[in-house]
Amino acid sequence: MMSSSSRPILEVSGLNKWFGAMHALRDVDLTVGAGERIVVCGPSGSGKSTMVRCINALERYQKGLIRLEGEAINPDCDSVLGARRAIGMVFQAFNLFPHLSILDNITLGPRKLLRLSRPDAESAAMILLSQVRMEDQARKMPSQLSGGQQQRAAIARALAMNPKLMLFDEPTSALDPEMVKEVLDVMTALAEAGTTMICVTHEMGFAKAVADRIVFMDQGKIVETADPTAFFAGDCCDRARSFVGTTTSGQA
Amino acid sequence: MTAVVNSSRVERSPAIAQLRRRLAWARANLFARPIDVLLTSTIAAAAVALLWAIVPWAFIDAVWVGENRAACRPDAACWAFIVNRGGQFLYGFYPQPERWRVNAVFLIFAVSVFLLLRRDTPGKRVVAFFLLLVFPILGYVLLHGGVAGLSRVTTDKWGGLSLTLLLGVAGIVVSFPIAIVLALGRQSEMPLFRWASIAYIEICRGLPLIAVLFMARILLPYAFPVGSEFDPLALAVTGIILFESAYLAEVFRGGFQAIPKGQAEAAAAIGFGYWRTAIYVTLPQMLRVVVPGVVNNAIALVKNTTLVVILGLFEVLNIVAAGAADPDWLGLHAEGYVFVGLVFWGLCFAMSRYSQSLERELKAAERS
Repeated sequence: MMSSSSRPILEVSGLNKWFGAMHALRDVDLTVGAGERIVVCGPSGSGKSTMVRCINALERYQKGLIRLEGEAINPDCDSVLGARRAIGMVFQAFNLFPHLSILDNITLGPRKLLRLSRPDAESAAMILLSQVRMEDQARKMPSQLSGGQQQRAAIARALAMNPKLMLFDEPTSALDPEMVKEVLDVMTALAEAGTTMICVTHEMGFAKAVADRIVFMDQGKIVETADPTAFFAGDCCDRARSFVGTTTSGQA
Repeated sequence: MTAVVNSSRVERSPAIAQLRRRLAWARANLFARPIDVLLTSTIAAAAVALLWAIVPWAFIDAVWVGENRAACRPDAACWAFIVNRGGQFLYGFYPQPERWRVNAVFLIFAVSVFLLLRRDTPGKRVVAFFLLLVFPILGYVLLHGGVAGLSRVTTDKWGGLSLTLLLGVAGIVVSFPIAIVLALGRQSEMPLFRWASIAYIEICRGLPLIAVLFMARILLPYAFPVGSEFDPLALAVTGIILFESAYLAEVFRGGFQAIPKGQAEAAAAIGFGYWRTAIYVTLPQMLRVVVPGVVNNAIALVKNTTLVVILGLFEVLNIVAAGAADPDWLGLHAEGYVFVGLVFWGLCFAMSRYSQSLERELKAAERS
């Protein structure tokens, strides 16, 4: 595997989280190397989103350690802001800022945190917008765009901070079927360009084509970690096999 | 269906067709059943009777010019009272030759508010800085004088509509930033800040403004050494700000709660901390949501300013009432209160219309 040789970008070890009495994450361990593409799948409520949200400290956790390039990420410490800058996040609901144009959505972070001048930030943003094939929408407001366009703009916004790691939390689940492909195409292009990413998704075609490793979660635990060929061949536990069965039959 | 109707009447002139449509509408909506006929004619008769009583009193027989009440007629309105005292109703006891200073203050305020609200003004930050920090001092210096060759006009001479507006504007403008801090405090994760904000809001919101003003007048002197003098205007403004900032804070809290949680999360994911998230993401969105609530409070506040009479200040309502007690114009209360009612209604209606146009503009801005 790629990660074994290079220094890992992200190390998650012994992660445990409770929502009240509900044990949402149980002893999760995950190591991600530079350039590695991880797809996380599993039934709903299995803790996929919670794990991703813990990684950039949007959720607090009770036990365990998360390290980005060796530095611990602690939600209660100011250093968390630096860690979040280095991690790009794409949400299911896009979460673009509705009061700002697409261009301003993308340049807000670089201007206020990386201290770029407006022209510099805007020319960088235009390059990112052309990568997500949105350069002609730069001056529009989020509410004028389709869901697929909004999600591509949100990807450009996350990329604008030059993240070392990209997190995708079900990026296509809120989209109409005809828009799923345009977002997946952008994500595939990013993966091919060597972006390190952890992607929570139900899109098994995407997982098969792009993932270096597939992580299967169930009831807060990582049940299975396998490369896509082995995973889809069913060389793993029963739960994963039945999950693959339902999702692929659902798509057919 | 309409196409069929139109084609069958194609030879009629449009005016007749419209009249027919209106008659049909009246028949269907006003005279359909006997009870409808009864209701419609009763209401129409009442409206006519009301106009019959008001129009001759207010317009046809009314007196518009005159030096004192001898010019008035007993059975008609005497607007000469309002015309004659107009300067006092606007400026209070502010000396006549110095009244340009009041005009100047309101002109500067109106121009800077206009510049701030216009979308394409360059350097809005400078205007906002001027309005929030420089203007209150400049305005006070201009009105109060005593420096730079301006004669001194003590606050007990201020009055009339200009005082009403001054109290309203000062109440909203100064309360605005305080209320934002209180609303943020109420949701803060720092216990001391949160509890202090909640205590302030709950205490000040639970008191009637009239009680705050009475306390300022009666209790405050006991708390300070005998002989300490308090400027009644300063007391009134302080009382109004105490009261208004608590109310606005709750409006703002509602606005913050209307913003989806994903917005703050998206800001956090970029690496924004508390203040950057507030300044660039949540505050601008909150301010759009609260426009109707803020205007509602501003309308209530403008009407509440009439209570400052407790501190011996004569804003527009009380200066008119005092005018009607003047021997020259004794007993012209009806004219005075009708006039004041129209003034307040005009102010409040203008604010309401403005807030509606602002809401439309903000909605359009999110789509353009």
